[in-house]
Amino acid sequence: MAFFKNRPPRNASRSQPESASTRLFREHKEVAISSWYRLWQTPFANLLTWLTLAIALALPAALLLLLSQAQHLGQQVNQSSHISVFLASSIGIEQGQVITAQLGSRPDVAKATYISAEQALVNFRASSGLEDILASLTDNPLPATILIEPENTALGPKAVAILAQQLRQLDQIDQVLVDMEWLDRLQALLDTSERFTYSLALLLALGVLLVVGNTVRLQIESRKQEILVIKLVGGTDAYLRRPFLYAGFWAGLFAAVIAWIILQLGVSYLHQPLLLLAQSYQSDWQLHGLSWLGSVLLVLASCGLSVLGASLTVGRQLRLIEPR
Amino acid sequence: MISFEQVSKKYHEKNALVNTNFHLQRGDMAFLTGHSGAGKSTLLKLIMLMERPTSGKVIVDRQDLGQLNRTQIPAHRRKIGLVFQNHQLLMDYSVFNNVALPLKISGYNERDSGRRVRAALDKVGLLDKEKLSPQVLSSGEQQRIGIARAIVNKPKLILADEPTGNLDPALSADIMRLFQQFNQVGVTVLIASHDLELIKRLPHAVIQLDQGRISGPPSVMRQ
Repeated sequence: MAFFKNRPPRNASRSQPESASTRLFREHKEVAISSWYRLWQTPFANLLTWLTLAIALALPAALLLLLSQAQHLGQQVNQSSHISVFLASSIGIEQGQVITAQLGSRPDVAKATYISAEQALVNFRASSGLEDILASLTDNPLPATILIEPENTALGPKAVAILAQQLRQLDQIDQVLVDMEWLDRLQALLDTSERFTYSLALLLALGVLLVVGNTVRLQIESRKQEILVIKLVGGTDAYLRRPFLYAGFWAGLFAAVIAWIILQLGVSYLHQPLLLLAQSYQSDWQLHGLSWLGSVLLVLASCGLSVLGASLTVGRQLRLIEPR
Repeated sequence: MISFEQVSKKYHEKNALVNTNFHLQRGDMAFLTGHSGAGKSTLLKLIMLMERPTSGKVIVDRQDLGQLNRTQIPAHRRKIGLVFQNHQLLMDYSVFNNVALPLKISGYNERDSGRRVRAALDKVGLLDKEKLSPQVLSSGEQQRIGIARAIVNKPKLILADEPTGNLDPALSADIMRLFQQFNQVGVTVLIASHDLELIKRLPHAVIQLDQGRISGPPSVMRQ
């Protein structure tokens, strides 16, 4: 730029010439600080914007949080699923125990427990409350059962299905029950929720872009005179853009902090009832707040989206303001 | 310093400038006069690249402005100190920050910038007002702040658009003396003004515009 060539030499003993990168860093620091102070000139309006952005961020973030932890729960349930093996009525107690021991020694079986027909009847009598009816029966209608806990494998439901298939082929076994349907349903539900959450996140991200874009448009409108003068004294587009991009950055940062607080409050509010719900399914599952990584991702996503929203608007708006 | 070669500018079929030719040598000082609507503002706008000519060539500081694209305009404008009739000061900036604006844009650090701003304010006699808002100053003082902002960058060329338009004769004479001082240290100065009484008393060239054409005597365009 010719301008800098025309600059008279400075007094070298008093100020060292700045390198281009030092200068750029200093300029960015100055704009970051001045745009920070500008935030507090209209704190109420800014707070409203940040809250709007924070809600748009907190909603998909909460769903993603719930989803990722529910998937974890799903895997847990998967792994602890039992297979109920009903033995043929011809098999006696001793033979049943031998079969149980054989099954228990398989590598894909973690634990096999034998429940005799008598024991099953006692259990059923105790839990069903049908004592009178059961007492009137001459025969025990219940078969002996082996409860099998499959070894935890990475294959999950597939491995359980294969094990069940192999068990069905054994002669002594009458019927094999795996509660696979329930697991399939849970998985389908989780898949649906996942897609729903991603679509919602996409829409709300678009919302963040629009909100930041509109805020920046209004800011540019209110600083029109300043922009005109800066253009007339030779301010570049990059120079004019910078304060608005930083304004977007600060909005993103504050929105992320508010969204984080909303999330933590929500998690602590839901914690107790979810704990009870999980306990009713014999699970020790708990809802946890955002991890460190999650928090960092929230801040990055928020700041990134806000700066993007600002930069999409600022160039077009600045071009509309030309000195005439 | 400034050359207009066969420059015309049309706005919606209305001629603002017609085949204008003139040269302003480096270090010259000249007045641009004419009725309102004669094309004074258009001529200044062409030099500032706020407008492009319909035809012809504008050369400023050996640079053909027709060859500059949009992104090169800011660097061109930084070479020129511009003074407005309505001074275009930013009322929510202090006097100091108003004057410092061109330096800030050029990336000066605070120490160099402070030194230059104070030198410029000293030249216009308002060094003690640097912390005030321009709003509390008189219109003569506001105009001098505008001039300080135009010279803080040490431009080779100063353009002024009716700089004494709102001022009484005594203040106007003060302002003109300031421009003469800058001219004496080698700055080229072009002032658009319709204050003929004032211009007559000053020994500078006059470029007279009439309905978009230069109508002054040939001696005006001395080389």
